[in-house]
Amino acid sequence: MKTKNDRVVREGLPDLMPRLWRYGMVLTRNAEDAAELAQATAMRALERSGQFQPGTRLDRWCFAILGSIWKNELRSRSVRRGEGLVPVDEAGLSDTAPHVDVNISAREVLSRMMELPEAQRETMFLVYVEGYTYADAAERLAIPVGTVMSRLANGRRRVNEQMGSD
Amino acid sequence: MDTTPLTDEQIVAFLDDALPADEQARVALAVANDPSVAKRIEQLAVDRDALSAGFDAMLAEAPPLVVPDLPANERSQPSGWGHWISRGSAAAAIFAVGIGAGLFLARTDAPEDWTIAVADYQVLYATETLTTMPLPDAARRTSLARTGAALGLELTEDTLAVSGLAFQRAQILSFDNAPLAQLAFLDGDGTPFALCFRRIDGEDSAPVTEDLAGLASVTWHQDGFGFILIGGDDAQAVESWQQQFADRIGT
Repeated sequence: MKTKNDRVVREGLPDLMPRLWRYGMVLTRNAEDAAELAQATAMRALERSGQFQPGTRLDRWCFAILGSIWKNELRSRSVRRGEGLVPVDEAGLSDTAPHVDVNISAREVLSRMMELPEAQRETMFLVYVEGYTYADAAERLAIPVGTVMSRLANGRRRVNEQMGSD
Repeated sequence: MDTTPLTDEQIVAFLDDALPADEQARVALAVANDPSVAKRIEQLAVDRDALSAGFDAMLAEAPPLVVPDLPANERSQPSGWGHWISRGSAAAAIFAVGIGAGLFLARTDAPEDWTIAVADYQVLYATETLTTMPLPDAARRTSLARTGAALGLELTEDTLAVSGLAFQRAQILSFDNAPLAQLAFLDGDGTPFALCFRRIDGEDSAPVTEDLAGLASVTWHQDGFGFILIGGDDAQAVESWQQQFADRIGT
């Protein structure tokens, strides 16, 4: 079983790497840290491939690993360093990624969401971007469903307010 | 019929189609019959299509990431973060590829430990910290003049008269054996804020907004000083005040 799991994990990881990086961006708001986090997640997933349950979702399994590495190993380092977010506008999306067809409201709402406190933006990301149900998100984050709901409500209100005030 | 007022959480769950059927129907009824609920829905609305489009675009920004080729004899052995880093050049080569351009850019300047120290200190401030023993006007002005003189920056209460923040007092702290000025403010709600600065050689830099110790902050360099404005959780308000301070200090 170990060998088979190893193959499933190894074959699934390449397609998952961009999504792992993106989740890393949501948590770290820093491209380099996100890349490190994605790489460390891939490494850990391979090391622990024997624990992967065939028939369950590899992406969710890897997201849980990524969340755990961030929470337990990397977050404190990143916070100490005080890495910060450069808003989309200043990053010059159109210059660096001319191939990306993304309209202004998409850029704006993304930027606003990335400015939310970590707990709110991670919960919104899992539910609204990665399609977690409230119950799945609660399990993933080890919090009650009610907390998922209040994070979503607070996050949505703030994004909405900021969109409205521009 | 349940007439308990709806919470925002229930409204959001309704919008996300995440309520049990009977509750979903109840909220739908309220939306149809109660204009105030419709208004609240408006305030909680987020353009989900735009959100998806933004995050889809981010995927295209991902750097080329290679799945590590784990030697067979290392599998199933837990590795700490340092273990991965210690792989050295191979890892470094992977990290170095294509990182940096994209929706969000990493800050490239050196970490400014003093801003972390300020944030850790500011977290301890409550409204009462500043209201329990308010300084008389003259003492407040003196504290400001002394602090400014110690750092070599001329400051008056006019300089600090930004809309929405009331100056409370100034004091000289120390970081790395060099003076660090702390000017304390309260906003209209009694939330404490601090404008801190110290001498830092180097060119002026654009303001950077970041969450430090759970507080909204903006840091910037101006005229040979590093500044941080920090407090509360409203980044936009802090950015707006930062702009006013920068304009006033610069003149």
